[in-house]
Amino acid sequence: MSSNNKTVRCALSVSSIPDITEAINNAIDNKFTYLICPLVNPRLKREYIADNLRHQQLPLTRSDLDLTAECWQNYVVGAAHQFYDCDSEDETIRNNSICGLSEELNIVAHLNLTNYLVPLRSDKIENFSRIINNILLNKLTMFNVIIRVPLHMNNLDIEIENVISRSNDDAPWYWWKKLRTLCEENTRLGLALEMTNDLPEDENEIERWYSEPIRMIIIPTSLFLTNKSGFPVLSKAHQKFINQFLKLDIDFVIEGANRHPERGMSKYQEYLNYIFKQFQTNSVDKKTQFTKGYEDCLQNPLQPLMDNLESQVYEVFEKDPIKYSQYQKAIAQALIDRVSEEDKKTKEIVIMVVGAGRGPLVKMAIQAAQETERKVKLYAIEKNKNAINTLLNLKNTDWDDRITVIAKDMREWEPTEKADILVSELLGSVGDNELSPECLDGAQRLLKDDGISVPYRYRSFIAPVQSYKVYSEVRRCKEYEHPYEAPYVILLNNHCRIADEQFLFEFTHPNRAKKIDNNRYGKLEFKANFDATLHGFAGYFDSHLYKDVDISITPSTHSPGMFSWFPMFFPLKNPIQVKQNDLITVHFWRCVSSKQVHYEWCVSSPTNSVIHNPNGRTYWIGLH
Amino acid sequence: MKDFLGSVEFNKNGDLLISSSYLTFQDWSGSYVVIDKQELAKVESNTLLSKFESFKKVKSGVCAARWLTNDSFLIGTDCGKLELVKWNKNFDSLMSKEEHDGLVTCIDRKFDSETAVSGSSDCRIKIWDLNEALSVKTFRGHDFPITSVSLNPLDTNCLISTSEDGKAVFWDMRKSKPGFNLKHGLNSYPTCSAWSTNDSNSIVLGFVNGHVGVFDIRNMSLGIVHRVHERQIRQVKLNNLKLISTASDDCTSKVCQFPSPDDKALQLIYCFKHDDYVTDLDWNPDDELGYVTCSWDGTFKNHKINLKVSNGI
Repeated sequence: MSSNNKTVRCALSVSSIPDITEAINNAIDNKFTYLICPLVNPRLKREYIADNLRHQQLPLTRSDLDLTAECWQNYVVGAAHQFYDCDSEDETIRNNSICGLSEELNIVAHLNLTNYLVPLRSDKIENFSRIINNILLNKLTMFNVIIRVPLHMNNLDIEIENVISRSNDDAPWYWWKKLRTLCEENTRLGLALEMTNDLPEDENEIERWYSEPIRMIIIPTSLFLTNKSGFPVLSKAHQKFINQFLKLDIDFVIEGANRHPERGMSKYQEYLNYIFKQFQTNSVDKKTQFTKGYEDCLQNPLQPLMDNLESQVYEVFEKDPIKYSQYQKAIAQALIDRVSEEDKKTKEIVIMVVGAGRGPLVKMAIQAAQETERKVKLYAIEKNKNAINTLLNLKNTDWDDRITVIAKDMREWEPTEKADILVSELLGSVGDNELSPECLDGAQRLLKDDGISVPYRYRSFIAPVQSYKVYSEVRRCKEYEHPYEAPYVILLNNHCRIADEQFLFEFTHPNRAKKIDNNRYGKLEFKANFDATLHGFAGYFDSHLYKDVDISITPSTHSPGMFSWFPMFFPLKNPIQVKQNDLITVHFWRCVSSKQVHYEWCVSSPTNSVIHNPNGRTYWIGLH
Repeated sequence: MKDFLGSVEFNKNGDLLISSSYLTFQDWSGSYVVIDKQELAKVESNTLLSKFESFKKVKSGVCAARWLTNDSFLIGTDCGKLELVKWNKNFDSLMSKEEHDGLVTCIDRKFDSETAVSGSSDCRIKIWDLNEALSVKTFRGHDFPITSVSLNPLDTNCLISTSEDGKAVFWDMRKSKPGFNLKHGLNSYPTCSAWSTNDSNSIVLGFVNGHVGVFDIRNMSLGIVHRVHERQIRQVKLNNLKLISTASDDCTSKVCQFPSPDDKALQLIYCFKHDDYVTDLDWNPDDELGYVTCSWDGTFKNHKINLKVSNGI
């Protein structure tokens, strides 16, 4: 995770290095972070089947002693510069290629490099994938394999006649998809995307690339234009593209002849650094300040009923600038509706804050009362003893006798009077997942028959998602026996939505049904916007506090600047390949028992998945 | 011992230009020598290039060197440079342009003219005007690295390019859509190409899997294809006697007779084995039955074909 990088990480890629020390010095002198270069001479094609060829007696390449081990590791990224056709129909070419590639991979391991770039040219990659997969699973090798592909293959600048054009799915993303599927979404597998002159017209295609584990963006010098002062610059479209990918932790790579020879290669680096600095300045707002570093990190959802929250957790949430102002607005509105202007001197309103924590909602209620000049009596109910300590201190210093602090579970406390307004903030990433329905159902005894619950409604939303990064992190998660059966709270960044989110479950309060049933079943059908790999589902919520005062983390209606909630991710055990316009049918269950609540989910089209988390065997939320 | 000879070529006078690269060890540089006709008659073919007086070291590997006139030649380097060199004591540079984004993999030119063409691992072909010392056209018509470029000796508006993308493309620079894909029908990519010296429709392509195909560009499907070698063909050249000589990674160089239309295969009349890949060859301008090969075994070799004896193979 890079936070506040001072300068852009930009590498120089060269195809020939007569002298490696000189090449590294040249790269560093021109301000590049490291050098990408062939480890074996790109023209040294070796023979492994026939014997007694002269080159077989010579060393494969230059000696590791040409650089210090530290220098190899810090300044060199290896790249395969000859094409190893490990899946050739011709047996000798195939076998020679397999030996050649394996030998290069051994050198990478020997030199202890961090990254190795290999190009992909088609989807005939079974042998190739097998070699790469074996390397990735080998615990003795540490390096990442970075697959190099162009953004697309329609990059010829001249039309050749009499050519059968490529089919739509004979394109780099499909080759890559096949490789990553064969290699089971390994975390050591990454992508180096070569920017092309024409960018894909379909925004979805760029979005889809965005959800892949992009480590590098390769920018050929041929894409640079020259501005009036003679400096290399990128077109607006290319700048926009680059800016999009800067949200991921990527390195730039400059490759190709120096097209501005009167200035050194450093001019390219300087330009990208300028773009990078601009991006950093523009993206520093309050929200990113708080969320920086959390991108795509898995977190287990809170269990607020079972565990007491810690001080830091309260502190982070209390800093949200949007959430609490919305609550204040909602309470103020409710007070005005409940007490007419004439009655405001006489009528006193009882507000109960259930799950008061360290008191932010109590503060909002006080402020709302001041703002509207309504008389209120406040109860702050909290089960966490440590938070009670804070509340009692606050009462002593800031608040007055109108506020009563109750150290009880809201479901158990027996009040002497009932509330006009019941205020709570018990919502999780998909609304109900921190058991707000169960808590508020238990607490609505405290509410007058015509009382108001703030919030009075919340809904969960679900969207099908492709995210290599998140999925590979889930696979690696050691916490559970079935890690793909647990939902995770996650600031989704390196992902894309295959279709827009849809409404799943709804809860309203107070719930005056004779027999309250918080079990839910929902079936949603999504139409895939593009060919993709379905790795799981993102979950969001929106909540109406009072009338039309709402908060939302649903992509289409997200409250600007609100950071208290990250989305939830429901993984799939096995990724499902979907085609554009395929119907993705997903089923979600919310299952309530006397002790716990859990979710189960499955996909029934385009293919069946297993039922995830049966009986809540991997993940559940305790009621006590 | 470090020499990997990469190209050989005679000029019209019979002087030999050889290029070489060091493809391993610390220093991946290149070199070339010119051996004049008199000296050539005396030297041993396994003489180290560095022993020649004219030996010239180049900072980067040299993939190909081609005569432009009897006293100047072009070299293409691994750092993407095309250089025009005067054959004099210092090998003065007449032009040096680093325009390719990858290795220069092949060069061709019309002898005694200002036209040259280069191909590169950057997938591009460049057409050069050597009088103006600049590239006048750049074509990105291939998906993967260029393996060969061959100007039609009878019409320099036309050329063939081959690439690792599998395509052999016929280019006619006069047309608005200059490129035309020649469907060779092989499940392999062409690695070298040559025009017939006396018929501007016949071409020969060598392939990465050792096949050699003789085609009429007007009707590619009637091509005669034969597996002449067991490995990649690096070079193929025809002479006026309609002999096809080939250089291959199977360490051999072979000579075949140009097939007549009803032939099913190419008839082999000569074979020589080097101790490593044979990387280039050229017909001797003074002897229609003589040609020279060079190899990664560090040697170049003069060959003399005896048609009478060979016919008996």
